[in-house]
Amino acid sequence: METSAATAVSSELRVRQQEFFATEPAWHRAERQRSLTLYEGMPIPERPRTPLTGRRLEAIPYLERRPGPVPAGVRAAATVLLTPAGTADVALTPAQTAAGVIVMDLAVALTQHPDRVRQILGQIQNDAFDRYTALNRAFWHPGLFCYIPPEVEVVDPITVVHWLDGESPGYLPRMAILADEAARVTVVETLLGDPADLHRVLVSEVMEVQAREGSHVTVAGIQQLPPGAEAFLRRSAQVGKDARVDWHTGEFGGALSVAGLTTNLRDAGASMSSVTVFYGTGSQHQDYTAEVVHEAPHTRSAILARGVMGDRARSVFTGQSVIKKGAVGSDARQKEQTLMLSDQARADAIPSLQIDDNDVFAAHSASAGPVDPTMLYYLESRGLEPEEARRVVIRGFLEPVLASLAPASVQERVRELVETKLGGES
Amino acid sequence: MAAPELVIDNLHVSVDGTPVLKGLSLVVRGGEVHAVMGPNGTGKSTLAQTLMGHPRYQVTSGRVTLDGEDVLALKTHQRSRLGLFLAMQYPYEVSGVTTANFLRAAINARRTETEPIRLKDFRDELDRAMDVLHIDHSFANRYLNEGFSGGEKKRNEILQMLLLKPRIAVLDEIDSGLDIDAVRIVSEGVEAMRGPDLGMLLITHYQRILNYVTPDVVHIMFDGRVVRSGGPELAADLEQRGYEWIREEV
Repeated sequence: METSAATAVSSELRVRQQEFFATEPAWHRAERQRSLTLYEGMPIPERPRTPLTGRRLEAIPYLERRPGPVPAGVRAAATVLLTPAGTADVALTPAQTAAGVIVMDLAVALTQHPDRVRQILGQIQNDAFDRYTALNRAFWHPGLFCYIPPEVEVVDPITVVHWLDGESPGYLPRMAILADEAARVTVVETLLGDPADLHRVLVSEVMEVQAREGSHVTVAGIQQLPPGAEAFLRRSAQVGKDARVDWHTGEFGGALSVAGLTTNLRDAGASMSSVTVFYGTGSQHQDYTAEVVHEAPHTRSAILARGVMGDRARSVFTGQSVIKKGAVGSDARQKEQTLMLSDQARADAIPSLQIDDNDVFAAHSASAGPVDPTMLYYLESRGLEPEEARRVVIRGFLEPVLASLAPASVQERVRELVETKLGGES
Repeated sequence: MAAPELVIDNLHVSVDGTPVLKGLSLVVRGGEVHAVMGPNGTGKSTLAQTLMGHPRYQVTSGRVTLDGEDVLALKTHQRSRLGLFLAMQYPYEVSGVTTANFLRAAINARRTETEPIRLKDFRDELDRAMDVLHIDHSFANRYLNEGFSGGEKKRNEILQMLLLKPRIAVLDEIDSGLDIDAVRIVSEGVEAMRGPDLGMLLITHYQRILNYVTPDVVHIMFDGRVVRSGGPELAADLEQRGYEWIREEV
């Protein structure tokens, strides 16, 4: 009986998949089918510090499509707006269009630019990474494809806003960013929803970035998901010779966020940096992994994260730097610090280095601790009220990392979000 | 406003259940500089921290008033706003907060009745105070005490005092760990503040700073009490004879 029930579910998923994606090219439908088989065979991921099985994620009907309204202001602010309903029209500047920059619905790009799409889609992030990457490949919608031609510098950031419409129980976006040789681009991505929207929504996002020789890609992501969101966010990059990828991340929203960042430094001279600011309150659970793999000589990486955990919030930050044999002259650094504001808040920082070559530099440090009461006393002795002293200490703790966030618009937005959290923290 | 008056009356203080101050009495008025001297472990820093309200120090009996107000009933920040200032022996490092921003926040914290200080006025005042203390102006943009040398931290305490304009200032071993040039500079800062609107309590182990700041009254502390009070000549006596004779006499 169980077998037939499982088969029934499976065939229902397959019927849905065929319905949703009937007009896609056959090669990609085949990829989706393959990924659905993967998905069905994979368990809910086991993360020791982030228990997932008790959350009953499977009870969320995340394949149902119930598009809701989009506020006018949200639409106006972005180069492109993505919602559970799809990818809305793209507003590139005339200069960007003239330079040959492509920003378009990934579903359309499957047909219009199949060769370029096939070079990146599913090539940077393994679909079989976990159940949710497989789910994303099987059902991704909406999608966005960005292509920057060789030696083109996109001056204004491409701003991508994801709006969770308050109705849909699932959101499975897919992003593919391809920077050709010596191209330069900044993509600012905001995951946004109504802060008063409490309904459960399962989010699984996959972003793939390919930075070809000599290119420089900056990806800034601000996570302000609505409070009912439970999110799996995978961002992966492959970095070519003398190319660079910089990640700037601010994590603030959602009930659960399992965010993973993987950067492969494939060729000599490749480099990456990752700067993360996170702030959890209430009963938020935030689980981050920043991973870098040095595969070639003279590659450099710097992972920096600072977070604040208030109330009963919980964070896990795992930094993982891998230096492969032959990656001589490489330089890998990571530093993670978390400030805990209450006895019930919890933070784990887990740095790790795996080094298979001798001629390298690697350093890591991690710490998590409470606000120092003597520091508060010092500030109060100059007339600051206890609450103000606490805010000064928290702001000061985050400041060195905040100051390194780019572009300026993102830094400003993250500062505002920190202030909002500071104001609402009990 | 009338000249400030700090009255400490028969103060008893314990640290982790151990009595440290055992009936200390003192009166400091505006225009006066009092030096409090004594051997290590005699309760000098306990006095300083208790006046400011450090949570580790428990007052078991006695009274402290500033201009008639019950200081011990107030929280630390309220004491500061009433006009009490403590230059700490070991100032804390506060990462991510520039000295300038912190000082402006501290000045505004006590201007609850009036408008916040104008940025230009604040900058001018800050520059003037830094000049008095021979502090490079770039200091203002460094994080508060972070990576400062011992001498820089002490000068920063005096800088804060110059800007916050307290009515009663307690300087806890402001001279310790300083070379003679730094002692002279810090002393100039202290002298610049001297006047009828400020009373000062200069806590020191050494007589050295008193070569630059002449006290009106010198108190000698021993075992949690003031055991001798006198004029500047008392400090000179100590310089010659050390603390041993006090130990023998009391």
